[in-house]
Formats: sequence, C-alpha cells, structure tokens
Amino acid sequence: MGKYYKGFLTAVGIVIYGLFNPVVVLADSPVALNYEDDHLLVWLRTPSPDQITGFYQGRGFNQASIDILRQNCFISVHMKNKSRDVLWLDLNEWQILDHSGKLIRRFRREDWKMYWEKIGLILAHQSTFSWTQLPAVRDLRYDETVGGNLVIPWQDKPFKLIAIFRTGADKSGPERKFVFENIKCGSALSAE
Amino acid sequence: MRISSVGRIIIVCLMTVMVQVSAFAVDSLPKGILQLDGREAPSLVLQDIDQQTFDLSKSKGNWIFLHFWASWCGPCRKEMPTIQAIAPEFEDTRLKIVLVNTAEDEDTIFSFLGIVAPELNSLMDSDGLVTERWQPRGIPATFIIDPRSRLRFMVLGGRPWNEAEYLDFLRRLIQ
Repeated sequence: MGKYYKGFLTAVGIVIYGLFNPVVVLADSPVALNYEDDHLLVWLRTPSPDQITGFYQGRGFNQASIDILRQNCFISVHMKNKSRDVLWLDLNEWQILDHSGKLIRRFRREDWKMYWEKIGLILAHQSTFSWTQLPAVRDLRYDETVGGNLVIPWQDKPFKLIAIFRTGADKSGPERKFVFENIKCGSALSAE
Repeated sequence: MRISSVGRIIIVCLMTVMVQVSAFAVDSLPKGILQLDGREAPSLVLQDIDQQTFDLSKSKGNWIFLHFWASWCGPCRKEMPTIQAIAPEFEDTRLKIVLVNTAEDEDTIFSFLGIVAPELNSLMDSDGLVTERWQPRGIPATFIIDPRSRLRFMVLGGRPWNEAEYLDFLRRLIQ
C-alpha cells in the first residue's frame, strides 16, 4: 500500500474518530460571550467563586460577606453604546432562564442591603459592593460604557440570558435583543 | 428707553456669560462630555489624605473638576495618570482639580496614588455617602462645576485628559 494512501486512510480515520468524540471544553476554560456591531458592544463573563473571593477579600470584606458572595453566581457584564442613539439598559426587561426554561430571579439592591445589615457589613464595603453591580436602569449615551455584576443563585447547569435594549430618548426606537446561551456559573475567567 | 450705565454693565456681563456658555455648543463637546442643566451642586465637605478639609461651597469663583474614583476600577487606573499629566498646567489657575475616593481606606488610597499618580492628592469619602449623594453614573466619573457652584458638565466614564480635545475643553473654561 503506497505511503500516500496510508496517510489518506489515517486522515479519514481521524475525522471519523472526531465525529464520535467531540472535543470537550474544559470547565475552567474561558467561555467568550461577546457581541459587537457598529452600534453596540456587549460581553459577559462568569468569574469563579475564587475570583470573586479574591476581589472582595482584597478590599477587606469580612468573611461573612465573602461566604454569601461565593455561594452565588456572578455574571460580569460590560457594554458600550457605539451609536448616537440612546440605548436603554433596564435589567427589569432582561430574562435569565435556567436549563428547564424557568425564570431565575436576580438579586436586587434591596436584597443585598438586607444581607449586609444582617451581618453588619460596614458602610464603606456596602458602597463598594454597590458600585461593582450593574446599574438596574441606565440611558447609555453615545460612547458611554457601563459594566458591573449581575448576581443570581448558583446554577449547577447551564442557563440562558435574554438581554433586551430599547433605543431612543423616549424608548420608542427599535428594540435590540440578544440571547446568550449555555452560560455556566463560575466557568469563565474574568476579562481583567 | 434709556439704559443707565449700571444697566449697560449688567447687559455686558450677561452677554459675556452667554458667550462663555455658547462657546460650548453641544456638538463641539469632546466625546463623553455632556452639558448639564446648571442646577446647584450638592454639598461636599471632605478631608484629604493630609487631613486638610475641602468645602466645595468655599470654592466659588473657581471652576472645579470633581473626579470620583476607586482603586478597584480599571478605567480609573487608566485615567488617573492623564489627570496627573494635566494638573501642573492648572495649578495656579481658576480650574481646581479635586479627586474624591469612594469608600476606601487611607492605605489603599495612598498605595494606589503612590504608584499611579504620585503627585496627586485625594479627598476621602470613607463611607461612600458623599458619592451616593452626588449620584455619578458610575466610577470613574467627573463633574465640572462652574464658579457659581452650578453643575455645568458631566463626563461619562474615564477620558484621556491629556489629549488635545479634552485639554482644550478645560482650557476654554478659564479663558
């Protein structure tokens, strides 16, 4: 059998093998969840519990607060309005769905306020935490960026995020909708 | 109707103010700078790293570049050196650069500025309540306050202050 024919059979063998044995993405590999066009840039990351711990512990947060934070799922969101039209970020219009399609409720500022008061987190740390959260509502102007965390209860299985943005100063412009699928808690490296 | 000399002086002063405001036609503003409605600035009384007190209400007569920042914020780390770069130009002018750190301790502030902008001082909003009252759109954020303590401009996010269009914008304030 000629060597080229043997090489051909080997290549075919590899392809057939690959069809039945898809490459497995390692759980701790970064999962890029990005979208960008001429009008908008959006990306998501899901930092790991250790990354969250490192960040807030580095800022002196007490252990009780770290224990609360690391048991939940952080979704870091960054976006930039590249258009001259106002782009509305309104988390009340976003939907986060678990693997079965059920709505997942995100933690709101009042929830955190309640936790922090219960464990006696000092005002400075409450303030810092608050500023690291994604604003609930924001009218993004031209060239404005916004970023921050969105926090949900930990999900063992992948979930979906549907992000809706209204446009125009009075929100009457075309709606923009993005669906990010197969998001895993704590599986992605932070962008920074 | 005859206008008295006092009236003439008042008219000239009003026209001067109008010229100054119109010099910043909205579409001539650098990217990321928004004109505000001129409402009165909230109060601000804080101490700096050297325990010196700054009271915004005592700064009337000057333009104030009021900048909110924190060490954990990436864009702050990028922007702060540009503020340090322009600070010497405005040192003895009617534009005062005032930094406000949000909710961090003195050691953190000192360590950060020591590396990123060693020539700058900062006010300390230790519990974050002053920042809360000012409601910046995020951190970093800059407000430009006029000599009558009115909010004139808001700057979205971090900006490269040592670049020509931003530096010229600040220079025009005090011309």
